[in-house]
Amino acid sequence: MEKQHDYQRLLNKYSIYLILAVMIVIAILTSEEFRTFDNIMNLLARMSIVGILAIGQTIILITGNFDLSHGSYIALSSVLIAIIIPLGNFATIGITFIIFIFLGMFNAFFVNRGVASMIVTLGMTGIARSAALFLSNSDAVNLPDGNFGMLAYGTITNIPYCVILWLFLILLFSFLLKYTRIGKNLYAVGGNKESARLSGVNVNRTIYVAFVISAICSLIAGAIYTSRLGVALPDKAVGYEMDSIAAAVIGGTSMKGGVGNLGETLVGVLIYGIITNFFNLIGINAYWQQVFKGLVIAIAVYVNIQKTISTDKRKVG
Amino acid sequence: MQEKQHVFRVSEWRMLIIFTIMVLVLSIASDGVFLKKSNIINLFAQNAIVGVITIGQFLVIVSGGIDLTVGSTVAITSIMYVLFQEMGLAFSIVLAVIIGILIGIINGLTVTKMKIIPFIATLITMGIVRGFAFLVVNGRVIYIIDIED
Repeated sequence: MEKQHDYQRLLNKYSIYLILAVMIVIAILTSEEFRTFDNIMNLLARMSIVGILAIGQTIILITGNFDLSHGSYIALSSVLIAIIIPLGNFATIGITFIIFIFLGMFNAFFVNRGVASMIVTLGMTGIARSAALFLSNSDAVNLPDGNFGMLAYGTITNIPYCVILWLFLILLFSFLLKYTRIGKNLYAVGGNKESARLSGVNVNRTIYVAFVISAICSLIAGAIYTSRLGVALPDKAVGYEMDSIAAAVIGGTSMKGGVGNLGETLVGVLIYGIITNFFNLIGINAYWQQVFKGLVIAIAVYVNIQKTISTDKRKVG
Repeated sequence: MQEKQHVFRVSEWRMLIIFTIMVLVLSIASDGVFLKKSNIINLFAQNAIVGVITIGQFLVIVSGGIDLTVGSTVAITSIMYVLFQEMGLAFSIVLAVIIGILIGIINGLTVTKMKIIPFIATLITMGIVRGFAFLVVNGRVIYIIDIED
């Protein structure tokens, strides 16, 4: 009886990894194209955009907030990069970082004053999108000739730079979440804001940090996006915020705050990306893909919720 | 203190004040065109869709949830309406309403039975419903035919 229980708990704990494993096995067995090294690297390179966004989103969700600005952030960052890059790489990195830190702080400023994060970041969607359209005259901005495409297409021992960057960011922010004071504060604020405040956590500063990290992650994702396309499109990249939220939540991040880690978010991103890739490879109609994708996500989220309900009797989604 | 309700408190009238200021500024900035009858009618006509959706969204948000499916629901119900318009006005309207109710029930059940929080539940149905909307018309645009009556 006791053993049965342990087994059940273990299964629950790793259910999301099990789903990913089953999906990979099915994909490998049924599609010859899927199991090529090139396809997997391409897949990872494409998913690195949502993957890096999901890092920022996970951290925001841990504090119990949302960030809906990701899609517009990407549009703005790609336009900014295309405009500033003739000034030199360091100038580009410096200026865009300063702008995005400011945008993140803008979001956090209003969240700290009691406006729901959903509304604030929805407002930011409009601001960033308009700024992108304004700066580019509502037109595509070409990147000057250079090696900016290296970020997405350059490889080191056949592994794309953007994948390495993605994994590096996961390790960096995992370390931040697990072993530093600010990481613990992020969980504390998400778990219970009031008790975090009473135990001496600077809640406002923690929220600032979370939103700035999210903005920076969007900036980096936007750089990869621009590098992949080779052109900055101010009216594209719509809906990335939904992808990043979905990926984080599939990975078991609670939308009520206080629960989540980047390793499982990575699994969420992989599940999300592999579904699309697999459907494309076996040639399913794009419209059916949307339907199936929704169903797979529903199953993944449902299974993951069972875990949280059974382990600590909390409703998490 | 008993006369509390007669005290003018800005917080209660905030939205009305903002609204009045907006109307004033817009009227002055547009030389009175803003207050013309045709413009007001246009304004209402343009916002009727969002206005109707907001009624439903209001109820969901008041109960502590959120409904992201509304856009996809508008898409599929309007497609259903246009697709079956030859069967008669009443039939296609009823069909569209039934589809809307079905989507609502699915959302409700995902939230209450599967315990998926509203944001994600409706995000999922949003994708599924949008997929079906494309499927029934195969991604094409369909047009309303003029019905002479």
